[in-house]
Amino acid sequence: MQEAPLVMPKMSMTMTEGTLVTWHKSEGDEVRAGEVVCEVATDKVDMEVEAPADGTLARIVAQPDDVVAVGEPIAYLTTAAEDLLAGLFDGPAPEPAPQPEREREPEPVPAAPAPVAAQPGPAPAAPAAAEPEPVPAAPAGVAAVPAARRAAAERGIDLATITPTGPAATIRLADLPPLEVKPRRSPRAVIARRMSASAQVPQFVVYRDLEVPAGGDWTTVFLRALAGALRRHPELNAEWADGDVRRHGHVGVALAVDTGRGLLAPVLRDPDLDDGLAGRVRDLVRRARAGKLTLAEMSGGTTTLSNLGGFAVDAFHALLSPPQATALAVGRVQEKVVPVPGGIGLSLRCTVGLTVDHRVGDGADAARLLASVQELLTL
Amino acid sequence: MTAVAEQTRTLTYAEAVREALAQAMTADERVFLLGEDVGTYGGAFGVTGDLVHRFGEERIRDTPISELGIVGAAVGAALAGMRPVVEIQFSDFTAQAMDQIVNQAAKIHFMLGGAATVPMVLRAPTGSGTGAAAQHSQSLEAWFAHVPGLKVVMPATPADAKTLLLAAIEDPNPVIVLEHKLLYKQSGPVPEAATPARLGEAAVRRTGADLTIVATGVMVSRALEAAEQLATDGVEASVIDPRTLKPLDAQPIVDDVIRTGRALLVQEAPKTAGFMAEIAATIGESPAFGHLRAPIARLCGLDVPIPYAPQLERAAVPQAGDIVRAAADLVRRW
Repeated sequence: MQEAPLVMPKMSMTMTEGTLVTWHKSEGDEVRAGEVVCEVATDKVDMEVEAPADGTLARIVAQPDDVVAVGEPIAYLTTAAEDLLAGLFDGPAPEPAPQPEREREPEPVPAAPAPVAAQPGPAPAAPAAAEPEPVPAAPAGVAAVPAARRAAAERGIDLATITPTGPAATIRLADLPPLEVKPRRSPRAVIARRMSASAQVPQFVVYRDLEVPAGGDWTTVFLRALAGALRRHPELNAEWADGDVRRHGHVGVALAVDTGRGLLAPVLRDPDLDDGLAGRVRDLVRRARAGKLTLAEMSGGTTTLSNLGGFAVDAFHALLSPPQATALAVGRVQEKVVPVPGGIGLSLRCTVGLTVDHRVGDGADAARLLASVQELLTL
Repeated sequence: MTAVAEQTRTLTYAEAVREALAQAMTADERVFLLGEDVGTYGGAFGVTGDLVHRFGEERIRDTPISELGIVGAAVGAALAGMRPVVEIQFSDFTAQAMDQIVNQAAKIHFMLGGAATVPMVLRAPTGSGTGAAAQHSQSLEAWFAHVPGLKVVMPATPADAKTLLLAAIEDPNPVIVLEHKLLYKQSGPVPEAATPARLGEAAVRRTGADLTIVATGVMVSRALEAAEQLATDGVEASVIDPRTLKPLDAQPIVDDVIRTGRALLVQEAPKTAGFMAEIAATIGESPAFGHLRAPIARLCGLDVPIPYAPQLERAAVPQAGDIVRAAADLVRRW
């Protein structure tokens, strides 16, 4: 038996530390691999932490509200797993029991006690299985990369239920369902932390009155235009890191959703390239409100779109969500009286505010981005 | 004891090799050089330069065109207590000397129950890129790595060219040092001190999260160039240079693949039965296996003799752009 650390997990690319929220287990409790032992708050959401192996929760070293760096221990498990000497002195592994040779046995099995061998499923009669550890064996014939096999075994997922998207119909790691996130507590603490960090960022806002095409689904329309504009202006689809501007390889729009329990901002990756965007947005909003988002859907944002037009807000200033360098605040879309050649006319307008991290870009960059938003809106 | 910052200067790879030879010869009078044109001519690639004027013809010995005889003489001298350093003009010509290298130099220590050692070094320019065609451009490191009793070194930087050669000369066993022709004129910082490297210690030249590139010889600098390019597209690659193929320091490679889950193995030599097959198998047999999120990928020279035409010569071995494409593909697909 050895003591293995249970460490603060890194649940997102930007996560460097996490806050312990609550323990579900006490010192001395038995835990099973994959069992939830505690909850931690990441920079985005609250997450459950699972035991990496069967064992006993020997020592708890992080208490609620402790801030712990990623990779640092929060507790120690006493576990037999990964013990280098484990099994060294055991006898040879038992030969797998011979498969029933049904095809080569034409005579009917006597009606008496049903032979174990005739039952389908796991190998019969594993002799004296002292190891309690259930290792879900990957079904034969399923192609999967080793990392996916390992992750599936750890999480008790049957690989046969996974749809492979890798070459040669191989299950990739990314094909496994993302870890479920259940934001049970109010997101207030997360918002407080992220927005306090935002106050450290030198940011400015540029407003523009945009002409909007007729239609209804403004959120989707603006999502697509914002993502497309950022793709045209990669200098703003970036973050300030280590003294330099680092550009992102994708456009991820975090969509501010009012969930009733507070703000959540699930991310749409490359929404401008998606023909079925409106449906995707509806689905994401519905699941955000139902608390059914996955961590993957909370990660990868490179900008934020916040639309308060539905609340009859004319214009507002959105705070950046670090390390994102931009945020677009969309106000009410309404008809306005505008000058037209030879008189006045009506035009569908909306005032947006684009917030920019001044370390990443300047006012003119922001103006150019808004010009592209306008262009893409009326394309 | 106070730590003294290591003094370095910028030298070319060829100058670094020459400096190592000069320092070894100054420190130990048993060290001598022999090979074709290593004396007055200064070496086929100018590596030995003016050493003949500094150390004399006794210690910088020009030989006839007779690879088998040169290596045989070195084996004999080593057995007699000397520290010979052989230069073979092109590593391709080691084929002429294979009996002495494989059956004598590598085996005598074992055949005599450890009663004798063969502390010789065989240096040879390797690889393509100079328009020297099929018989002067091969990468034969896997031949030597396969032979028990030989150590194999492939320095990729001027500093390594010096410190690994010093280590090879110090080693009591035969060491094959394969110097890449294209690297001879490349410059880099080289320590002034005559401190040998440790044979069997890989260099992690860059660390990234997305994949591990293992590269040898001239492919190290191409892999680093590729990694820079990949980084601008958001793909972060580690680059690991084994430096010594045998003994191989596999741990840094295994550790890195455990982190990244992807391995791209790059060599100039043809793929079939090449050294990267050994690295691939080593990863596959290691604890990194369970962390693999992609098949181990090899990017190697084509299974063809190196062509003479410059365009075809370039096309026959991996270039930086090929590494970028292979790495991006590995990350994108898996």
